[in-house]
Amino acid sequence: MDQMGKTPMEWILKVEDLKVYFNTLGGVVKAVDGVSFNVKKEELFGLVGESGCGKSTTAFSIMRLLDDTSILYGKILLGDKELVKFSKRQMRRLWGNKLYMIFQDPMTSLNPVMRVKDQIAEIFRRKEGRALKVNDIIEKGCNLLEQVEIPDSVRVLNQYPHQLSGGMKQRVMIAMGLATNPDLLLLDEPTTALDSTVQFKIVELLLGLKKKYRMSQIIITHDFGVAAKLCDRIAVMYAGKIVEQGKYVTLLHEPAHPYTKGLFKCIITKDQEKDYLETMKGYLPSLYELPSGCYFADRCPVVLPICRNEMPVLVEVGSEHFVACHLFRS
Amino acid sequence: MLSPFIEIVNLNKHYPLSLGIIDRFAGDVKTIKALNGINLNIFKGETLGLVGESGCGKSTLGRIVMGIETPTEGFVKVEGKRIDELKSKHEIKAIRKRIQMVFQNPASTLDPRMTLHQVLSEPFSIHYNLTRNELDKRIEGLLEKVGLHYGDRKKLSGEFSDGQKQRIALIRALSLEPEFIVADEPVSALDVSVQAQILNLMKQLQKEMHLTMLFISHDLKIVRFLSDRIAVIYLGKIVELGSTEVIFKNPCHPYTQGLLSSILDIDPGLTNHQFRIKADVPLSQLNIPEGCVFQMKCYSTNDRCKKESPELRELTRGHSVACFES
Ligand SMILES: Nc1ncnc2c1ncn2[C@@H]1O[C@H](COP(=O)(O)OP(=O)(O)OP(=O)(O)O)[C@@H](O)[C@H]1O
Ligand SMILES: Nc1ncnc2c1ncn2[C@@H]1O[C@H](COP(=O)(O)OP(=O)(O)OP(=O)(O)O)[C@@H](O)[C@H]1O
Ligand SMILES: [Mg+2]
Ligand SMILES: [Mg+2]
Repeated sequence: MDQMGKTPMEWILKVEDLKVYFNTLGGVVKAVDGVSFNVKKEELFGLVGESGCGKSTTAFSIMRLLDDTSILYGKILLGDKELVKFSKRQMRRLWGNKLYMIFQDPMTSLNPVMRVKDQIAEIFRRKEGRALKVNDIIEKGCNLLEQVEIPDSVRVLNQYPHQLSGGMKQRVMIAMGLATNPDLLLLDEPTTALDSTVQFKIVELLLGLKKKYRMSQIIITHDFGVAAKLCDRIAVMYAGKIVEQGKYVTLLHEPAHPYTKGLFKCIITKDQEKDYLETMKGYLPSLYELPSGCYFADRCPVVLPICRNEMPVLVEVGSEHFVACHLFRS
Repeated sequence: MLSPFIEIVNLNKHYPLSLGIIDRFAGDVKTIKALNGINLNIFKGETLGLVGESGCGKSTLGRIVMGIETPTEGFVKVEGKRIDELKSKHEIKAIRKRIQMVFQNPASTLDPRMTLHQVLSEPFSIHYNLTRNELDKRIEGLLEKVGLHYGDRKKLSGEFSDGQKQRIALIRALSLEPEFIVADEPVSALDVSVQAQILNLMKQLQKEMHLTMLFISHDLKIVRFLSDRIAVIYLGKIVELGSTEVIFKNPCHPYTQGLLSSILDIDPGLTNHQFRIKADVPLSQLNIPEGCVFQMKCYSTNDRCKKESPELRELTRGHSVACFES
């Protein structure tokens, strides 16, 4: 409750029945097909799921960065703004201000022909509406890079992206996210190139942003150690749909969907000494030939006859816990 | 004793850094000391895991081993022959077929306008003369191994997800059945279930094809699964080298200990503490000071660490550490 006595809007982002279809030579690819979730204020929300299931596409559509070969349906509400209806120009005003995204592939967000300092300067220019002095850029830039554990901050500011290591590029992007200080930060696999000591620091840094700036974040990660430390709730995606959603600890201790259960079993532990890793048989189906019924049926260890015919829908099975599986029919 | 398949001898790599025309004019060219005196052997059939702080020179070392980049000093030998001394086109082509690299950033190594089929047929067309049918069969087989669909072969490589691109890069490197690969973070974009399947596949290749590998990864759990030996690098120097078992059970360098203690657990109820590493600013690669490369982050430094640089010395057979305290 705020001071006015009204209930404040408790979410910052609401995604409703989002669909993203790509037109390709081989036919239509339904990369995201009816995804709904919301992110609360100050919440860190995780998106996980098999490679190719539509996580990055979901994030790209929130940023409205998909190109013309795709069609977007559904609603994306950022506060009271309906982003699906926004023009490129309106979006540009949000990017780097209310919204910022750290991409999975560094070369999507870093400009290869610009030095790091110029890219950081660009962010400040956009945010503050005027260009900063060179000395200020260097000072602010160094401060940002040191926060993400980059040594030699002055030399890195003067380098081009291709002269940096994979993990340095990743951290430069995170530093740019810090400079932006958005209301909602989207991070697509932000720590894949960081060794465990640096990853540890970055995880603490991201948690600090939530506390210090009340920043909400959407974190796409396949590293459950990172999800465990960061995420309040997570959504598990499979072939363009959310199959389970709930608090991280709920999914860890009481996963309901057979896919979620399988996923947690595949995690390698620190002490494993086996010669063979636990897997889930099979892979994601081809998005060109999706089966009727549940997309996971072919790989499911507890498949029922109905699963082959009918697509299950999300039902509530506990507090903030939703599952789309015929084993849990309302 | 067995002679090594790959021999890395006294390797240095320094990148010149010009901050601007004035510095260059004043002759004040600094260098980024990415690698400093690396000596390492990789034996036939062995997988050597390479771990270390982000930016410490792992990818640089991988590229030099492949002969894509030239070292400032030192050299690399493949089966006793220096790769920088190969002259004839024939020799170079032959070695190219036997050693392959999976690059760290798959998205930027695939041409986004080529179809999946074109990407995968390229290596075959350079080295073999296959009929269309044979080629399609090979490609189908490769795709199946990593969970991609033959139906996707007409898709442009830019139209795949990052984890799919990574798998494409991996099968392209494996398509010619190389004897040795440098795999630079080859599974970093994969979720745990696909990752487990790909790791099992790589394990199988190790066993059945006796694939030799330089395996670079920041994920110690994966490194443990695939590697026979592990080299830990810090600031361009090897600080610890030993069998996988010894590195995990008896890590002796404070940096290795820090790495192992920083692995995050999947249960948030179990609190992790990153101990053993100081929160100080890491050292600069531009002017590496005298003494140990790890001194700023180390809790057990003594006077000697600030003056002398510890050499890698053998503690027990096959286990070497560069630290005065161990
Ligand atoms: N072309 C280049 N020009 C200048 N400096 C470079 C160049 N390539 C690499 N470097 C520098 O060399 C150092 C080592 O980089 P490298 O990519 O080998 O690190 P890495 O160990 O692979 O790190 P990561 O785990 O983050 O990928 C870095 O400081 C990097 O900035
Ligand atoms: N431009 C495009 N044209 C056609 N298909 C696409 C395009 N971009 C993505 N796809 C397909 O849409 C699906 C979802 O892709 P997306 O990148 O969202 O996956 P992801 O969950 O982020 O996977 P990863 O974990 O591998 O990054 C994939 O099967 C991919 O092949
Ligand atoms: Mg992705
Ligand atoms: Mg690298």
